[in-house]
Amino acid sequence: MNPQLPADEDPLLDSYLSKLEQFSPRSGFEDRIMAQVRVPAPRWIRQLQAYLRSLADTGRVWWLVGGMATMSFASLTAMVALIATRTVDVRTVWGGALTGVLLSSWRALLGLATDIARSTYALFEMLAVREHTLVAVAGVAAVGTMLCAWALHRTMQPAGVTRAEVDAIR
Amino acid sequence: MAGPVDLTTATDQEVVEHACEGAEPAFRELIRRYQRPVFSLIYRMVRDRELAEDLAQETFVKVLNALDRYRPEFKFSSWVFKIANNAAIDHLRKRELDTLSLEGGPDATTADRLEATALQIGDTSESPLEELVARELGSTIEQAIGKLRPEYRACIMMRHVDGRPYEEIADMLDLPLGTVKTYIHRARAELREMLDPLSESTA
Repeated sequence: MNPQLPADEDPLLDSYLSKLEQFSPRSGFEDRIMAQVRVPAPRWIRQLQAYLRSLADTGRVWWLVGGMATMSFASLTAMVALIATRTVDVRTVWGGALTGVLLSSWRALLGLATDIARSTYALFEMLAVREHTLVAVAGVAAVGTMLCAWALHRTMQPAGVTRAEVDAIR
Repeated sequence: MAGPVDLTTATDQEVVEHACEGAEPAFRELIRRYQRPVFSLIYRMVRDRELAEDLAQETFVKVLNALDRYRPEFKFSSWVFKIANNAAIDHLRKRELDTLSLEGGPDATTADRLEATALQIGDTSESPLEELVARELGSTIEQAIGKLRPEYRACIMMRHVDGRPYEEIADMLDLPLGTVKTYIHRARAELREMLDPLSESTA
């Protein structure tokens, strides 16, 4: 240290102070803090909550609830009145709509089934050209089925559990 | 609709805004930014690792739970350090402590406790001898700082470890600018006196 220099200008002291490091807290510090922090709900939820609270505070919430109840009741009454006064028209319209939807669905289903059947038939027809091929395919299908059954059995058995343990659980 | 924001490059104010919107990653980003300087400041004030962690944790919980009251016209860092400094000063007022040891906290009496309270400076990639010399030097400087008055200590840490300007330190510590300059001047004078034997031995 140079006693001739003022303390504020001593370069050696500056070099000592520059050796000071920043220390780190132990790992998990961030999580320990976050466990105690209240993360606010998104702004739109808070705005909605504030709005509902203001409605409740000013008594306007009863107007809102009353309005919604009145609207629901009015809609229900209108529907009942319509059905009661124009039963035939409603039945015709409803029946027509229902018939239209059902018929379209049935036709679509039928079309799909026909297409699948045609494709399957075409496949068998192609395979039937050679007898050996048909036998080979049947064999592969049989082995595949057995393999699938075995895989399913293994999958359904919990990992590391022996057959005896499975039986014991049952 | 705005795309995802890169919080690591965002300013403190932007990160705070995101946190106020309810984004948990923004809270974590603020902790990541300030955990080391806040912990270092408190640690050098109280000189006990576990206690420093508790006080640093308390500081962050207080700050993050009051983010909606943060006024953006002030620097976020000033606010955090002000709360951290107050936490440390409040603790020191209740309890007098002696010098800092890199080997463990002042209350550590058992080997386990010494290990738990010792500082982890990290690997400096130096040879064992250089590491030992650096460690001893560091320990001597830390001990000298530990002997300063808490007010001087806070000022010198903010000035020389965090590199903050005098005006910001004055703002953080609620002190007049002249007082901060005086504290740093006196702290340096005291440190020079305490570290003088060190300079003679290394010369």
